[in-house]
Amino acid sequence: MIVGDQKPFDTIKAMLADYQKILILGCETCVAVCYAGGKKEAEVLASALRMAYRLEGQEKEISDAAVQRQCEYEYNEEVADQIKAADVVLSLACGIGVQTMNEQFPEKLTLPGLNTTCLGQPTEPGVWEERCQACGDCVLDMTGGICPIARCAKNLLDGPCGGSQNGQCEINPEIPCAWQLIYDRLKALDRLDLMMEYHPPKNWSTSRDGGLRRSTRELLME
Amino acid sequence: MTDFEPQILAFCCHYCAYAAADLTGSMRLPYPPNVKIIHLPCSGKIDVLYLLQAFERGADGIFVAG
Amino acid sequence: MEYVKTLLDKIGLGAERLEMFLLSSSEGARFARIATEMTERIRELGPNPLRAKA
Repeated sequence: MIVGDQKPFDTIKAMLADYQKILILGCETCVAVCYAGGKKEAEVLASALRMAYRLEGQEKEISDAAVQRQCEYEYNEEVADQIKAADVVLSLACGIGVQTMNEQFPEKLTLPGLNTTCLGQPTEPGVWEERCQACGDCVLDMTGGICPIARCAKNLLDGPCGGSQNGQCEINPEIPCAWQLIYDRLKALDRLDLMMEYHPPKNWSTSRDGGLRRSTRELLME
Repeated sequence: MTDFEPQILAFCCHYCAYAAADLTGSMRLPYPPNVKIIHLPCSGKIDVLYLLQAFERGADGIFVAG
Repeated sequence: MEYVKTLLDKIGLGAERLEMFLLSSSEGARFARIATEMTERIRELGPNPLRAKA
């Protein structure tokens, strides 16, 4: 899922200072399941902001709503009236949702309430950890299902660097070395032969290096 | 401010704190009339929003008991 | 509870207005004591500033 963290309360409060009618718009997909930007978080933030501004003597009209997926026009259309009635929208979606809103409602400024952090997975209660960097050329078949792009600080493709110490990464000793994990997994699967195979250089043009990426399904295109 | 009478909400679990409050009454123990009890099936039912909305609507203080 | 307390501080209401107590059904006397303590604490803190401004 796409993981995000809510921006600090004071940052959000300062961002909205110049606006009177504010809609806080949550997204009920990825950022809702990581407790950053769902309906519940939108309601809590709206209530907290109303109180914080009122304590400073400002009466702002702050409402909240949430849509199933803010990255699709059809869902946002359902709350179009509320969006149009507001002076500004604070989106609690990921960066995609914020941009969809700005494209779909060009006359209305939508501001980001979250920092989109990564494509990750819940690893323990309250913790989400990066697992994919969307490089566009998956290598998990060669690495025992453990991603060296996302999990190695140096994105190495050819085994651990000299900084791999006792199974941990030199960048942060609390992070396991991705290549140690890969080696251990392949060994357990009795597939260490995969590490001996030669590979041509990875095609990074499918990653960010190639500029804006698009996926197409010709059958669905008009 | 001498005539200030705080409005306090007590969110109480049915099985412990609410029963305790009930016992307070049975024991004829006095406690301030400022405390208004809201009965919850369990204190696990408490929600951030209940607390924020109570403050937003003017509660002076809140305690959750369970 | 800790989360709401930090949020109350950020809002500017103050975490002291909220408290959590664990008690059993046999602690009738303690409930009365807690209710009195909280009333005294809030009396000292003064009214919810939102009420004055509402």
